[in-house]
Order: sequence, then C-alpha cells, then structure tokens
Amino acid sequence: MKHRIEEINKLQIPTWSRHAINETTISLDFTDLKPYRENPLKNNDNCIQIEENAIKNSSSIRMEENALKNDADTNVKGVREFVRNHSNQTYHIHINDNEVLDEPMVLNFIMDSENSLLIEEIIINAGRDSKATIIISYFSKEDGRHIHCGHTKMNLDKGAEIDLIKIQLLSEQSTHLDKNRVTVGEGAVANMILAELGSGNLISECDVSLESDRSMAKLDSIYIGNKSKVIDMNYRMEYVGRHSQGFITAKGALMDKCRKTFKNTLDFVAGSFGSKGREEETVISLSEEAVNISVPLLLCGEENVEGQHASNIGRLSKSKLFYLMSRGLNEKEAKRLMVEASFTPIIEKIPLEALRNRIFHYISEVIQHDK
Amino acid sequence: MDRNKTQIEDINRSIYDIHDKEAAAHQVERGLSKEIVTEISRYKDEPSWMLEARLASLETYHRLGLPKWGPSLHELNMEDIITYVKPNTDMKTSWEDIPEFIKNTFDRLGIPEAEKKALSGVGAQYDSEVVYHSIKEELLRQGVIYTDMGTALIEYEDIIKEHFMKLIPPSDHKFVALHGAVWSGGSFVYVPPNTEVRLPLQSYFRVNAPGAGQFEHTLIIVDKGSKVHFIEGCSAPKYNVLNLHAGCVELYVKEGASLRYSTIENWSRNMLNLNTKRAIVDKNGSIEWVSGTFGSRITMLYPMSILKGEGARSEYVGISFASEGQTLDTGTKVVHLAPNTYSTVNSRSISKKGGKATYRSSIVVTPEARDSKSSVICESLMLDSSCRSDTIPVMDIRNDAVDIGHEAKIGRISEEAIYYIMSRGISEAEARAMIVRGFAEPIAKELPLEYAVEMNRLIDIELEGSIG
Repeated sequence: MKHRIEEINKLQIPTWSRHAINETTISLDFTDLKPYRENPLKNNDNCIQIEENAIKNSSSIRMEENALKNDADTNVKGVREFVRNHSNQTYHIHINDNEVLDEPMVLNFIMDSENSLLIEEIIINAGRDSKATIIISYFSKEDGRHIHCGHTKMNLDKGAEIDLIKIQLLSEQSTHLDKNRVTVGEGAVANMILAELGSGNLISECDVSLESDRSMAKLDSIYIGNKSKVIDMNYRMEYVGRHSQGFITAKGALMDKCRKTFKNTLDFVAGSFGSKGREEETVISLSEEAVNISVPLLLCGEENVEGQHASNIGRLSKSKLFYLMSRGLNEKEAKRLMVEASFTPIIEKIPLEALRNRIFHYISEVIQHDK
Repeated sequence: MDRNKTQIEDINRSIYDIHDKEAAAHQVERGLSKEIVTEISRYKDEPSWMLEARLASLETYHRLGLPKWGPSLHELNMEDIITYVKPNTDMKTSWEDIPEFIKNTFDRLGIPEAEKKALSGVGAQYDSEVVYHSIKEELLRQGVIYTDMGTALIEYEDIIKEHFMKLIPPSDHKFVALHGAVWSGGSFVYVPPNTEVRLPLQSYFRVNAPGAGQFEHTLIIVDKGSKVHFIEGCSAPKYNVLNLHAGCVELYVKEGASLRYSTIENWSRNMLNLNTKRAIVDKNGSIEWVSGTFGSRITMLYPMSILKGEGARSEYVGISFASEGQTLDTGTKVVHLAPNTYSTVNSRSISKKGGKATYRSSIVVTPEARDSKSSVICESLMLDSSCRSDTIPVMDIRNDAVDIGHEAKIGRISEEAIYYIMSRGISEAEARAMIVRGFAEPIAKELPLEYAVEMNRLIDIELEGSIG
C-alpha cells in the first residue's frame, strides 16, 4: 500500500513556483515493512511518568485497519495528520512541576528488518519550573529499507527548561519524516538539537512558538548530504510573546549528488515587542554536483524587534586544506577535520559521550566514502 | 506611556496628481479580446508578424493562471481596463510642437529642464504612445539609435524581430503574455561597439486616462565595449479606479559592455505595477540596476540578470517605501550561467502606516558557473507597528566552487543611536531624519541627482515628538 503525504514543509509565504520549494509531497511504500515493536525506553528510572495506557503497541492493527478501511487515508495533508491516522507508537511524557531530572531521558529507536516501520507520536508536557533533558535517537541496526514518520509535540509551561535532542542515523535506504511542534511558555527555555545525519530521504520540520513573554528557544541543527540523498528541512521560529528570544543555527556539509533544501523562518508576530531573533546557516560544499537550496525567511509584523539572518555557502578554504595536508593529513582526513570543526560546537552540547562518538564516527565514515 | 512618534511624511504628490481632461485621439473599448488586440495592431499599422505575435500572446494569457505567490491581484478585472489610449498628438521632436496640456504635464515633472541640463536624449510617453523623442546630434553621428518602439518597428524591423520578447517570452507569466498582446510605446536603444554615451538617456512614462493600462516595451542593445546609462521615470494622477502598468524591459549587454538602468517609480496608489525586466549579459559585461519604488497600490517587480558570459557582473541597488494602502513586493533575480560571474544585491525597504514591503529574491548558480560570487544584503526599517516587512530570498547553488553570502536585518530606529546623536546637540526629530536618510543613503547616492533630491523630499521629516 502506498501512502501519499502532501503539503509537507510548507513555506510560510510561498515564492516562485519554479524553485519547487513551496511545499513537498512524498509517497511512502509500506510493502514488506514490519511495524516497530521494540521498547525504546532505556535508563529510565527517574521521575518521568510514562502513562502506560498511552503506549500503544498495537501498531500493525491500527495501521492496517486504517489503510484497508478507508482509501482516502492513503492521501493526507501534512505529517501530523498522517501520524494521527497511522501511529503505531504513542508516548506521553509528563514532567511534574518543579521536577528537575539530573539524568537525561533516552528514547532509543533501533530499526531493523523486524522493526522497519515506525510511525510514532511523542507528546511532552513540561510542568512549571521543571528541568529535563530528553534524547530521542533513531538508528538502523543494519542496512535495509526502514521508514520512520514521527510527530513530536512539546509544551513548556512557565519557567520550564527542556533540552530536546534528536539524533537520526538511519540507513541510506531509509526514509525519515520528522515533525516537531514546540510551544514555549513564559520565561521557559527550549534548547533543541536536531542532528539529521542519516537516511537517504530526509524530511525534517520544526515549528517553535515563543508564545509567552520572555520565552526563549535555541534550535541547533547539523546535517550531512551524501550520495543521492534528498534533504528537505523547514524550521520556523514564531515570536508571539514580548521580549522573547529565538535563534536558529544550522551547519551542513554536502557531498556527491545530494540535494538539500533548507527553509528557515523567523516570524515576528505583531505584539512581540522587544523580541530578538537570529538565523544562521553555514554550508560546506564538498561536491561540484550537490544541489544546495537555502531559503531564509524573515517576516516581521512588529516594529520593535531585532531580527537578522545570515547564510554562508562555499567551498572549504583552500589555504586551510593546504595547511592541514602539509601537516601530513590526506585530503579526506583534512576534509573530515574541517567538517567536524564546523559541527563540533553543536555536537559538544550532546550530554552522552557514546552518542557524540557515534556521530563523529558517522561523519568520518561518510567522508571516507565521499567520491 | 505612549511614545510620541516623529512623523515621516509621504511625498507631496500634488505635482503628480494633476490630470488632464483633454480627450484622447483614439482609445479601444474596455476589456481584452481578440478584436481589441487586432484593433490596436491595425491602428498602429504594424507588420503582420507582430499581429500574429500579439494574438499568440493573447492565447498564452488566457491559458496561464495568476501567480500562486505574492500579493493578491483579485482586484484586477481586465474588463475594466482600457488597454490602448492614444493621446491627441503624434510624436514630436520639439517640445514646442506638443499640445500645451501635455507639455505642461512634462514641464511640471521637470523633464524638458532635465533634458537641457543633463541628458543625452529624452523620450516621453503619455498613456499608450510616445509623444516626444529626441537625441543629441553628436550621438546620432556616433551611430547611437534612441527612438520610440513604434518607429523602431518600422525602421529597424529586422533587429526588433530578432530581439522582441525573445529574452522575456510571453509564456514567462500571465502579465508578460498580456503585455505581448497589447503592448504600445516604449523606447528602443542601440549603442554601437566601443561607444560611450556620457550623459544618460531618459524615458518618462505618464499615465493620464483613468482605468487605462500602460504596456510600454523597452529594448536596449549595448554592443561590445560600449557604455550607457538609461533612466526611466513613471507617474500617474490618482483615480478611484484601478490603472494597470505591465511594461516589459529587455536588455542585451554584449561583451565588455556596461549598462546602468535606473528607475524611479512613483505611480499613484490606484496603480497595479506588474512590470517585468530582464538583462542578458555577455562576457565581461556589466548590468547595474538602480531601482526606487515609491508609488503604486501593488508592485511586483524583480529585475533579472542572466550572467551568460564568463566574467559577467550584475549589481542591484534597490529601495522601496511602502506606506498606507501599499504592497510593494520587490527584489531581484540573478542566474549565474558562466564561470567567474559576480553579483551583488543591496536592498533597503522602509515601511509605515500599514504599508507592506517585501523583499523577494532568487540567486541561482548553475554547475557551469564555477568560481562565481554573490553577495546579498537586505535591510528593512519599520517606522511603526501597523506595517509589515518580509524578506523572502532563495539561493539555489549547484556547484561547490562558489562564495555566496546573504545577510538580512530588520528592525526599527535604534533609541541608542537617537540618544547618541541628541547628545551631540541635535534635536530628536533631526536625529531620526538623519538616521532614515542614512539608511537610504547607499541607494540615494546611486541615483541621478534630480532623483536623489526627489527621494530626499520623499523622506521628509516633520519635527515633532520626543523619546517616550
């Protein structure tokens, strides 16, 4: 059964149609895939309440019933609607008021031939003045076609401080669609890292709403494009509350014949008095055949704000490359070092060393195989 | 406490708003049909290939839909638009021969005066036809051609046939197709090889008839190693009905040639300004766009540079000022097709009183355009919270040997800057004026003097208010 999802990653204000960036459509083929049945919760002996009833492992029944019952469901608009109709995993994470979790909570989704289709919904509610780190990772244990389609909804109450870290290292035959919707309450802080490194077909969306006064969010993203990978990312920061602050930083490296579209939007809504925002993208291009599309929108309906964006797209500095090679590194090692140097400020924010090492290892592998 | 704001006034439009009541010599019925298009072509006594091209464009117009992006154009009803209005005079080469009421209009706009002082040639279009065209003798001797498109179609038919709507085909978008069907007037410029036209050429486009459309076509060919500056100005009196401007500008810049194309657009606020401009630049050639957009109800204007030859360059310098009832959607498009091509974009917008200023751009670097560079800077200044300012850039880069930089800023006048200037003994109002003028200065300095003066009038500051 093929499922078609339209209107993904819609650009908030459309522009020339010939760029084909205003929205994305994807078809997902579930043939021969097996619903995810593993439990991704690891090291979770802290104060987080998992509502057992909300964890649905009846994925196959729900998904197949939907597919068989109603053909219209095979054609939906947006990842959120698709996940709502087809999710085979749902998690409700609730962090109590004033609760401070010292250890990060980890959801580790490992995909393989027996767990090759994951459609999950994650709902995170962070109570007033709570503090936690949540790490969600998606790995492929082996080569093969895996599909992940997820919707994470996170709500931060007044004064909450949540670090949400998502790491995606799926196999290159995989498809990954991930939508995140974050609302940040008064004085709350959301720090997010989206490490979108794996999968051959990658669609990533993050929509952050700074809803209340003095709310704050930082969204850091790293991505790598290699082979014929298709990357479509759409990150948006909406400023609603007064004196809110939101920053988007993206670092990418492009190789081979990949195609990357990165849309990032700062949207200052009328009334977001005193807010500040910045978006910044730095792309290192390592291939003459890669396609690199950047669309940094800056939308403003409020006079008293400061917004800026900057994009830098270019080749590796020849002088730096020459210097490193004169120190005995071969060209690929030198390139790896320079990509790592660009990504490291973001990777270093990930609290688990094993994950950091896994990312560095992945980068090294990808560059080693760069043609 | 409410902040008592300094008012930044709109331009005094009184000289633009005077309209003439004289009857036209000929005008077509309102609306758009095969019969109207045929009537325009027959009235102008055009060659048959042009009528065929017009009718083909009309078919394209009907086939294409409205753009799915940009400002809403739902107000436009072609059934209300008069696509051809011929003024009550033929084209003259002396101002004295032009009917008094038309001459007075251009006098008020300062065109004859500017011609005497600082121009190599002048064209003046009134509604659908050019009423005045002249060029200095010395340029004629150098082989420079500067004439109206109607004359060019007869005297230089082969050149026109080779270039007309080849750079901007009617299929490009709906309003180019409309232009192809009902175009009239405009200027043709040819600068022979290795010729420098020292003083600018200027065409001024004036719409007088209510509900009229103006569809002038400008075709400029700057041959190898030559240099010219072309200025166009536009205005119209304000009416309660919509007017439509859908001009088309095709610029051919040959090897080593240089063209500066300056536009000061000051249409009245009942005008839909849907203009299309494009330049193709050969090896080591250079196009400079200087664009000031102040008037109109809606403007959609994105001058495009196609850098076809190695070492070709493009520079875009643009400013827009959106006030009450205005949606100004402007910017530029650049396509880097060859190695070592270079483009810069410097865009500023000011918005106030509910005006909406949008900067929209597209920078495309193809795989062949290795070692190319592009630098984009756009800044927006909002003068109150009732307005909107959006920046919508696209960068599509298809090789790794490039350096692309894009920066954008949005914000209001910094209170710290005001405070600093005031601490030097300058009033708050003057401090604000200095900052707004300073914001516009990088663009103003690129404008011809009389237009820089006009722009400074636009940013007319009244002394009022204090920091609150």
